[in-house]
Amino acid sequence: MTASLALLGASKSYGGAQVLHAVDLAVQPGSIHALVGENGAGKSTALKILAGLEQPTAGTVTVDGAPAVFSGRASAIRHGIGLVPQQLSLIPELTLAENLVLGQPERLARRRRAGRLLREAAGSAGLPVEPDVRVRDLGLAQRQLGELAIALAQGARILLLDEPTSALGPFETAALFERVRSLAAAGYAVLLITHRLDEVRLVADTVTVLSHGRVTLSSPVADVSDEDLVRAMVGSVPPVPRREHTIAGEARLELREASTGSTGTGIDGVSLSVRGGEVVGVLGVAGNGQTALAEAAAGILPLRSGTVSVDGATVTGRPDRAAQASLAYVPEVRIDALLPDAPLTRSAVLRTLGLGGRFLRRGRIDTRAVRRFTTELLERHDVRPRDPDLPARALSGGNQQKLLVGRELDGAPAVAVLHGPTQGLDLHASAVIRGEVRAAAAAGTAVLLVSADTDEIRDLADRILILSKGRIVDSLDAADFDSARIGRGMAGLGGEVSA
Amino acid sequence: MTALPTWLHRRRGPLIAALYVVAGFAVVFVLVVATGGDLGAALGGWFTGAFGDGYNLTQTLSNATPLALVAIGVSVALRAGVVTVGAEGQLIVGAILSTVVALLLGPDASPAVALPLGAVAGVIGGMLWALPAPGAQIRWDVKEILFTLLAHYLAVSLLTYLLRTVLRDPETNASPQSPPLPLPSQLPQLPVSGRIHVGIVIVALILLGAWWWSRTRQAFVLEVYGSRPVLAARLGLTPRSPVLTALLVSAAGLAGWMQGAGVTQRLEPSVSGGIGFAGLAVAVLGRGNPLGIALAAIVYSALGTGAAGVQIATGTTPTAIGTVTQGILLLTAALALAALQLSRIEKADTIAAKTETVPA
Repeated sequence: MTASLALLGASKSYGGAQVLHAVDLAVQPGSIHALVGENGAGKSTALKILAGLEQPTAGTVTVDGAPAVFSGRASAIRHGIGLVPQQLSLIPELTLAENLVLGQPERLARRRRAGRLLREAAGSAGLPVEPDVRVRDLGLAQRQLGELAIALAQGARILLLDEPTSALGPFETAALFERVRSLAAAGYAVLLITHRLDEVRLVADTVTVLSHGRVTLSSPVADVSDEDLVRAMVGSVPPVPRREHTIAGEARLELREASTGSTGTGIDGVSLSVRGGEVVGVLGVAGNGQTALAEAAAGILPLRSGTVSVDGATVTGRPDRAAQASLAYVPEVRIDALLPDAPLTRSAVLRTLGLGGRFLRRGRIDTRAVRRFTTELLERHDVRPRDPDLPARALSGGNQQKLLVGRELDGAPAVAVLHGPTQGLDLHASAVIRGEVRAAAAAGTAVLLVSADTDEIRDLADRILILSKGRIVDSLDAADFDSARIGRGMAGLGGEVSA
Repeated sequence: MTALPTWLHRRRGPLIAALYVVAGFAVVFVLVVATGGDLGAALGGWFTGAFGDGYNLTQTLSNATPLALVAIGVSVALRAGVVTVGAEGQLIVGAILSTVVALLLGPDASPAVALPLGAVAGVIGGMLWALPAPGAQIRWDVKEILFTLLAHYLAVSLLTYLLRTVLRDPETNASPQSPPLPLPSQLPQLPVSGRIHVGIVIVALILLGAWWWSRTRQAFVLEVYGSRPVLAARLGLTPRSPVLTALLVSAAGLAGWMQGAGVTQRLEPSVSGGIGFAGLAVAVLGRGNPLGIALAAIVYSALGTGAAGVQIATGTTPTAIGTVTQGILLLTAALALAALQLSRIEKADTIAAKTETVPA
């Protein structure tokens, strides 16, 4: 049988870095093919090539057996390739029909015709969509089906679904998969990009595993075990020696049955406690509730149920109380914690200004003390350029991060919630920040480290929790680091435990 | 040869800002010449009209006083990123309430009681008028700029209604205005040549207070709220309070009292006279800085009062040139400030890009 869509020996380099190494991949008509791999394994790049958004550096793309060169997304659409991106691309203020008009090549906006096309396409595929409702009034699952219907109305016979369930709850996921299966049964070729092995088992016929840009496994799903898939995804990692130290402190940060309201990206019944001097790492694939967990632990996100406490004081949904209880917080998006256009003297005191009368003199801000502190901070953490009057915007990402981590860890806070503190940093800056996290823990701070970076977690954490779909699904001591077990947990295969 | 273009390129932010200002002046000059005026005479006439003698000078300062007062309040709101155009309505309601209090107290009250009570009534009136906007913002997410703009029309109608009914002066039938305020409720004039009430001293004190406040922790936290509400929450600012304080603090109600008690000495339909909106302009011109606000208020007011001098000196250029110049001043100032800000951001980004390549 001729594959509907295939990559033959496709390679891709950006600058000097090769992200795909001679990848072969074939999607058959009437079947669902899963493409799985960890973050950075090359899934997105393969997808972009198939969707016509990127050109391979070497190798070819074939459609129905014939080589095809896509000049862009529009040309891939003409070849019948539909894409449902992970970050949905619909314009919220417009209806689905109007969104379809936007993607059409003709110049006239024929809304009625677009609505009819959409209804026909959706009807034949059994998708319940409403073409004339504004997208922002639709739920996430409905938007996803809307994207799918638009792809079908554009004449797609091959569907690329990029992490379609990342924002969906279990029922919505099941409903989506049912639709996708019936589309495959009707002869469509489906490529499902995911990092979740349970979904592969649930819906896919064949699977290709990417690891570090290479295909490490390609097989019908029925012929491989979960263990095979996990091994192909994470490879074998040599064990690292553990640094020995004892943690004798009291529990300083405690979450009890913390749940946020939203499904998909929230957290659900998370309980954990971090003792003074301990670094607890929370590992998970991005989009599994990390942001909600970090914000909840920092007292920023209000909870639907459950509590967060620092040294026994309840701080649930109260960032001010959390700050008063000496909680430090480095958010995922670092510029959110700085003032981009104000001088560094302002960004530098954002946590501590006025705590216990600090930096105040007769009711007013003691600018001289603030300046002295800022200069010291810049010096101590090697922030460049070392000029307290520059705006935070004038610092590069790494320097902003050094300033931010330095500010938050200053003065031995009780608890530090750090979300991806070394993301996007070079090796040197990253080593500096890891050193500071260790030093803070040694000084008695309870550190909750939320990260998608396995290396960072291995390097720093005393205990590792695995977060998947908003729940803690596994907990292990750093001494028992087991990449296969962690891979299973992150891929949604682990059982649930309480931490 | 390449040195000059590089120099120009590096300083193009301030240069563009300066160009805007020059262009603004040019437009005004063209208008003066086009109406048959002589430039020198017009400038001289303007200066005499605005600052020439005691009367003109006090007129300028007296007009600048409520502008500065309103601007102080608006600048507090702007600090928190809250844009309100409610000052006009607050001023009207403040004036109404203080007039009611003055008329109730009558001619026999002591000024030591009547004046503070009038001032408090003005402030309370302004606050009452300000309160629904943050309430609607917090409860239903109604934009404060829309709410305050519409509330202004309501305030104008309320004023007209009251001036034709319960507050109408029985002595005059034709014009809708209140009876004159009883003497104890009138703000005394300063003992200088010209005509200016003691309100200017009060405003000067408030400016001083605002300067002191601008370096407190509270002012800092309010400013953080403008761009980073989550960080402000960590510093103890709950999401409701900033919008509330920022709108309530608006000093426009006090300005309403001052206009009635110090200038017209009765309540007239034109009591606000656009001061609420002009105060917003002055706050922007003064960049939230008390000294800047004082300066901007005087310049803005002088453009208006000096216009009569321009007409007298040239004989042909109408006084409307004052209003036109005020508008042009606002436009050019906004453009120049934006140009400066853009160049600052660009400069910062360049510095960041440079350090990126050097290993940290």
